[in-house]
Amino acid sequence: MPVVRLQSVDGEVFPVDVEIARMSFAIRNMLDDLGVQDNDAEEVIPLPNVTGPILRKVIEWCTHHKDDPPPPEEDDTREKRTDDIPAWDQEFLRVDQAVLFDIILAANYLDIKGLLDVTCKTVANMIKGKTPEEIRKLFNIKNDFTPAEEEQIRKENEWCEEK
Amino acid sequence: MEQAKKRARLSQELDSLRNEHSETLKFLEETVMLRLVDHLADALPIDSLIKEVRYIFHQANGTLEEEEPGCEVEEEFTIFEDGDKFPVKLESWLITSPVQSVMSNHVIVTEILKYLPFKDLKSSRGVCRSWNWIGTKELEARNCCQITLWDMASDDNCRVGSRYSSTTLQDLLVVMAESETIPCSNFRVHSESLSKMIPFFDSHGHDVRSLTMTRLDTIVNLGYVLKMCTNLEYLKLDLSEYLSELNVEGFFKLFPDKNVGGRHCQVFLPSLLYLEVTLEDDSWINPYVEGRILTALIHASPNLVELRNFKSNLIESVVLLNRINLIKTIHFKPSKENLESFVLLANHQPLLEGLTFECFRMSPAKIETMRKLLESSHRSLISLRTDPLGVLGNDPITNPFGNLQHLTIHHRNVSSSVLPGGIGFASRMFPTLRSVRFEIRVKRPAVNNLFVFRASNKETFQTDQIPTVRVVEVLNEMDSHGLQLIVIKFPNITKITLKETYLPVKLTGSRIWELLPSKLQSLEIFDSTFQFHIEEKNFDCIFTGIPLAVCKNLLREQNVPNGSNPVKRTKSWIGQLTHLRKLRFILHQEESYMNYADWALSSVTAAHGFTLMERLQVVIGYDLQHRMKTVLQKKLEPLEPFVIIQHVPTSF
Repeated sequence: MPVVRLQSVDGEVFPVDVEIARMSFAIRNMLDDLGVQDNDAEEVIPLPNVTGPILRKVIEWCTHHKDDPPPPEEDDTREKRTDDIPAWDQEFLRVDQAVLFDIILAANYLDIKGLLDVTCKTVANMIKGKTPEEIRKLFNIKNDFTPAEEEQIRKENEWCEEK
Repeated sequence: MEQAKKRARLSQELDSLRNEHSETLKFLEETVMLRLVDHLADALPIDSLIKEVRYIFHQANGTLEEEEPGCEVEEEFTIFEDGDKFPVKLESWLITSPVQSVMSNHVIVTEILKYLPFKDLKSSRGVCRSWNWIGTKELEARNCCQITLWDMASDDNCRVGSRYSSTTLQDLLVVMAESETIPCSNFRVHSESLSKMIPFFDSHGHDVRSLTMTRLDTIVNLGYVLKMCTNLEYLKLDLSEYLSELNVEGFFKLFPDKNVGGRHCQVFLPSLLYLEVTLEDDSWINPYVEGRILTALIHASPNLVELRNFKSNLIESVVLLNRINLIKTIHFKPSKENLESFVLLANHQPLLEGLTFECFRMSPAKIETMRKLLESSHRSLISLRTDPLGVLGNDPITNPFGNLQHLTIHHRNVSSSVLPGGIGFASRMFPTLRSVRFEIRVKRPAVNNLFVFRASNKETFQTDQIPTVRVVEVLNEMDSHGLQLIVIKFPNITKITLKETYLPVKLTGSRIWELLPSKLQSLEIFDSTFQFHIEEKNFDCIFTGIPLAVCKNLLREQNVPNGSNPVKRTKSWIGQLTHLRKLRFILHQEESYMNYADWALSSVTAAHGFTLMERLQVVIGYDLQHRMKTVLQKKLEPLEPFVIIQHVPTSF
């Protein structure tokens, strides 16, 4: 099987099957734009936003999911489910918060929809059931509301029920 | 008095701030007090007012302090095409922490918030300004917000959210004028007069898409409200508490009237698609008035698609209007009073999409009506819920149900357990059937009659298959014979639910895995299926096929072997369902929460079963609010790495 070489920001080079690398739409576009042929085995694709350890994780995920069928079209007007994370992915994402968020950034940068979905689901599960204050603490987010704005949102939430 | 206290406390706070800051800042005091004086009458707690003072003070002084750790530095705004502003953090700050990089990336935060249920989505709006912006957009996309307005005769104000709420309609109007307020076009109104609501509908009526009106005890102002709601798409009127017929003519005058050539044609609802008028079955209201209300509304809504939740007592009005096509679903529950209406409907050959039969005693008139409804709707029906269909007699219905997708066979005290009269469970009759739900017993010997049908030449077909069916639910007793017949009848099942399925002892062993269809992708079982609380039954044994004694040995050992299975399996096990991707296991029996129940999934099962089936996702649902949940929680602890726990409320 043809192979491409992906280079992380810290110089580590990973030889990856083309089919696996093409799960990333960013890499797929690069390969198509460059017109890389099967025999260009020495071609190195630099990925300046991804470190070696994270790239290794991303490749591991893609390798495991290489035979997945394309995801079904989803209805954007509804809440999406988070209770359908496969056991392997749950185990795969049992990592430090920093690593998890690095994987999200990499999935976003490399445009790997399946990986972005499953990582976002994981973060959504971390958010569920928490108060705004707890969410801010968890992710170190600054509260930039004025007290009056905060009070207004609290009131709105009180009135507003689910249809 | 309260205001004076607040003022004194604020002055005290300003004194302490004065000491902290240079004399040159003194002039700010006046500014602060001037800006806050308007807030003194508000319901804001004193802590919030103090915070507000500090905020203004620091802001004016340019010394806004960092109260939260790791917070933002500078902020610039990107203007999007639709004119919305979104704060974007600086690049130099981005590289410091992946968490902060993600949390300041609005594309990713948008993706994350899409996975939050309504309650958490509301909560997330309170995190920071950018989350408020994104959360508001997501709520808007889902169109899921609803606000309830209360207009009680004993109250001078309309209340928002609850009849005891401190927020009045005037407050809501102020908030709705803001740009980033919660997006809501769905309103529910509990009103005893509607007069106080008029200003709201005057200014916002055109924004209302969905309107539900309950407790409507006078109809006088309803016409005015509807006149303002020109973009209404869904209207539900609950007239069951409608008490007064005063001024009813005033209401009708606002509607088109063919006798006066549209001179009073003021209520016009061109966007209205769905109308639901709720009445008590034994409503004492003048049926003539009800019929006129419905007629007026239908006249004013030229693009109406459906009369939802349609009640038989309004059939006559619709027939008179010649708009039978608006009736899409019917619950046929005949009584002495309403049978005539159903006969009238059936004679007009409606094209129904949903039909439920619920008859206790049969009579020739009822059977004839049922037959007519089935025959006229044979192409349009999507969902049919019916008694076992032997009830229509021996005269076969020959036209296939060309679009029927969902069939429910429910349990009534009708002696026959055959599909309706002569429909027979033949594939020819159900070319598009997707799901079948059995609420009757699927047991020997009655089950034979269910699946066998006779063609006109009396030849018996037992193996006629319906290949389109993917989903089967069995909610009553079933034996192995019944399960086998189901699997033969529907060869392409991918999802099975076994709820309240009391399998006899022989089937509770691991043999069930051999009987379930090999293409099965999703299985939902309830604890009652296996009756684990009965002694001598063991969950591990049933799932893994490992003999009970070996399971018990493994349980005693603390170290559960990883990966490879050291035990030779002598029986079938769940892993033989190679396509299975989802196993949902629901605990709803009281016994499952008891101490003595020895059923709980153990780490043995998890290690030997589920980790060997790495694509299988296991969900355990139980009532997290159950009074005995702690026992269960402890039992499920070792499983946490392997399963997802969900809250499924029980009814007992």
